[in-house]
Amino acid sequence: MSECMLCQVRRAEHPYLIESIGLNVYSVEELLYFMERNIPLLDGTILNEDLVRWLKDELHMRRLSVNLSMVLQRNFSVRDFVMPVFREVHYPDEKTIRRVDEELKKEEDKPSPVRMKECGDCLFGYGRYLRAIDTYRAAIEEAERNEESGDSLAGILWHNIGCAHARLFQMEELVSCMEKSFRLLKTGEARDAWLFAVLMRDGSDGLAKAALAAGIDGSVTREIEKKARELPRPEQPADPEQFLVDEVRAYHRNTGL
Amino acid sequence: MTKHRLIIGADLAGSRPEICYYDKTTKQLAALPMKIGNYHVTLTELFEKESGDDEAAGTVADLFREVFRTFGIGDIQREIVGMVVTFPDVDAKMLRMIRKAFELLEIPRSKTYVQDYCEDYYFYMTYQKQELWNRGTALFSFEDNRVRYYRFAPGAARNSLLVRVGSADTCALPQDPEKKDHVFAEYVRKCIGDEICSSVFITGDGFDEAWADESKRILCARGRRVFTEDSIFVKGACNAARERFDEKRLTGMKCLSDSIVPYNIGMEMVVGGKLSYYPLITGGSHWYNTVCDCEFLLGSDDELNFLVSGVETGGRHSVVMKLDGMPERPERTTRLHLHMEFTGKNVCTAEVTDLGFGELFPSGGKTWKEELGEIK
Repeated sequence: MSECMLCQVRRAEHPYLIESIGLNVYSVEELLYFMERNIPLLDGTILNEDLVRWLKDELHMRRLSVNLSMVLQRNFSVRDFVMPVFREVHYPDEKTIRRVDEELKKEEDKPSPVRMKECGDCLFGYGRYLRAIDTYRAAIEEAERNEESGDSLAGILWHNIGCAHARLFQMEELVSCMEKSFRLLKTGEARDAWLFAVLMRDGSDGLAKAALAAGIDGSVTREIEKKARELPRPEQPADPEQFLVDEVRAYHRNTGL
Repeated sequence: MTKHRLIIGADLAGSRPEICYYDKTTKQLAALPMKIGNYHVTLTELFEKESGDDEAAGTVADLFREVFRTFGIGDIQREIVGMVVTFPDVDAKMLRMIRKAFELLEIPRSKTYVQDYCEDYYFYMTYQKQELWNRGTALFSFEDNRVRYYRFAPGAARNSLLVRVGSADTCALPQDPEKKDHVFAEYVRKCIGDEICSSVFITGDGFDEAWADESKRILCARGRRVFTEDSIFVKGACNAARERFDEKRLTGMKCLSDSIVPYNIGMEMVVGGKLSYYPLITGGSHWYNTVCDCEFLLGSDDELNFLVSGVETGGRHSVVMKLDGMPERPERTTRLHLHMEFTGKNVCTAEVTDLGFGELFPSGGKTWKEELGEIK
């Protein structure tokens, strides 16, 4: 149970745009709410001079902006930048602030490709599929550069890239990514995901050919087709035209196309 | 050209407006009828010609400009340190009009104040020697054939001296001198009877010792010292201006008049990370001047719990305002704007607006307005 909390900082006339997910924030509490729930997204695209200037000019948080400017001038971690903001405002409560602090400490210890994968997952969750794909690919390159993590992380990343392509109806890329994921992970789940992608792109004949070429038993493909038939039919939208307009708008927003 | 530093009180009573100024440079105090050159101003006549608040405000602003010119004030913003305007009784309409007039004169709100005759009386007496008021005083204010009684009664509170100032209904006096004397004497008897007072003051036009034999006996009973003094209210307004904008010599004293809000209203809220009592309305100001605006994030309950405590009594009780139909959101993701104002001395209205939480939880624009009831 929580009590009301006085807002001691004004709301901004002009919002701060969190570009990666297209979110405008108008108050420091909204900013902190976003930060608490999206730790993997906190990087240089958000924690920068623009944010510091917004805190100073729009919210009149001069002392905090001076402190953060000094943080930016040195080699800083996300925690170095974010925790002073939480402590300045005391939002939402002390327990949550301590939890965020702990999570940020753990985040610092994670390998860079893992952090990038989590960032990509956040972007995927917000429907920012192209950004998610770029982030996942960068994570793969980082992993290969550092020779860390091994095949399992790369396999998961290719799978996620494939899912992002699926949301964009990019079927060639979907099938290619799922195959790469299967080759790296070598699990039944990864195999089924690839075969499903093939079924969506090429139909039953294409599925059979791909399975034969890969030496996969016919019972597996029959099971894949059975699951596809049993998938629930999507509900018809109440206003199909408006639904189409909304989906097209979201597609353009997410892809920049 | 001499630069003045004036503190001003102005009594805008309709039939005979007056102005009193205190010059910080020369330490001179003077009270004068409001004149433009040799012309006596009668605001009643002026207001009768106006059709709305804006026109009345414009008239008052023009009047003050002319009066200041008569004083030799060239730069209103620089030469006026502070100004208090007074009326016998203030209401919200009058307040709006005067504030508009100040805007037109470009005098900042921080340098102005509006109050009523009760408060003028308080500031007049407290700027006199304490022996003149320490056991209470009485004031009879005459205007033509009407008289009104005001009472100044000091009493102790927890950490301060509380002075209760009030007034009685106006008494109409007959023209005939003998009858006038008798009616006034009865009025005095009703108002102060055999009470002990440090002093009794008589002010205004309409009193003459020649017809007041019986009245004088009643006034002077119990050894009461009686004084006649002109322009008490405008002088009190000027003293109030000195107190608010300059001298501040009345620390530890508080005035409780009929128009003063006699209680505090607040809420338990987290402020700076700590749960504490946050004052929304602080008693001691006029109800028509008492306004609160703040924003806060709603906790886990869809209701607000206001804590009301008496300035004199100190006892506290709750008044709950339910926010029915509040959209479901996580805790502390609903920003609310609270506006509180008084529509009468004991009637407080709270208006709450849902501001949402930016794009994360957009506002539905819902508002709740509730009269918090007769607050006691």
